[in-house]
Amino acid sequence: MKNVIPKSNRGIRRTVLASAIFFASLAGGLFSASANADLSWFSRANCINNESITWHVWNPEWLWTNTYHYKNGAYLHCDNNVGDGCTGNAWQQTWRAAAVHWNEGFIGGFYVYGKHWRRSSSTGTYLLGNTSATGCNPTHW
Amino acid sequence: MKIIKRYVKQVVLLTAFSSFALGTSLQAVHAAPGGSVEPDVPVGITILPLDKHPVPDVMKTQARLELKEMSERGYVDSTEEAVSYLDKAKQNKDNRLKPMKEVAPKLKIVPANIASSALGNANFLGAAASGGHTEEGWTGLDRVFVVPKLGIVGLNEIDYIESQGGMAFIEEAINQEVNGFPAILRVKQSRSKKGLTELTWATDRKIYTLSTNRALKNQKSIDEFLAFANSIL
Repeated sequence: MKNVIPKSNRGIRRTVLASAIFFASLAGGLFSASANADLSWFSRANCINNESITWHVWNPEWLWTNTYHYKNGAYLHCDNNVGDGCTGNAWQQTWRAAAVHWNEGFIGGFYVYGKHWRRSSSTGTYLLGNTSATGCNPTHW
Repeated sequence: MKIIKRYVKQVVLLTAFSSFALGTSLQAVHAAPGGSVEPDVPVGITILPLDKHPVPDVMKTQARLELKEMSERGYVDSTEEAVSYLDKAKQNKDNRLKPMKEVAPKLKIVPANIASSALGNANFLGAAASGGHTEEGWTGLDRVFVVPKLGIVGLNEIDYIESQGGMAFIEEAINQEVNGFPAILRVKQSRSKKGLTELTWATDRKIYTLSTNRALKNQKSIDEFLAFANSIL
């Protein structure tokens, strides 16, 4: 594709793009910081990142999150909260089990499907649930 | 064991219903593609012996230790963090807890009716949406109260049908019942003697956890706590 941006403006474009990515990542953190207090789980797509997150801000838990990403209807890949591409054990004692593909959603067209688990030595093993998204869901944060 | 045997039939029916309602369609569509590794936890409610839980051996060892401690002395050793979440909720209530009229529109679920329960007259500190996010709202709810003699009391409810989830109870840990459903009472105490008591049970739609920031060690206080749970509909 022919680059229609004047050479003099390309540096500005790169700066704007980098800033957008930075602030979007920062926004993710801010959204999270103001989100639900108790055990919660959700997915977001095309929100710069594609991600599925399980978290409990008041009480770290043993958690496992898988995030499955589809592009224009076709399955692309899976990742989990330990970032091993869903190839092994992802149990983590943490307040935030985040399975994230950073900046992947910037080009759009993604569908994100998340699966979320918890384990407790007191009560048992939980399939917390499944979540899906085609957008940021910012109004919920 | 009597409790477990009495409710095996009920749990089988719940599991069958949940699997029919959720598992057959969703699992088929979203079966883990590309050979992705997942913990093998079914949708709906099941009761599994500890050895059959899809977790590492270290958790099974910890679970056995907790069962031994509960049996021998009525409480388990716990970290300070694990027994502090209700206190943190109260400390941060201005930021984290909201009136029900603000939280209710964010929910997909119908909250349990506590108006006629023992919690109906308690000092309500606030509520927070929780659970899974859906286009129609959140699938869980937390409510926090202050109750005379009990202290801070939390009620967590997750609609596992709306969440497309479920829970496998540790069979050996079931030691109570709530409104006819098997339940697990777990009393925790930290090194600084800070306590927490949690009661977890599941109905045909929801998983509930009632908690208080006290280590309830005598039968009278446990009975009163169970009465609270039994009054939640």
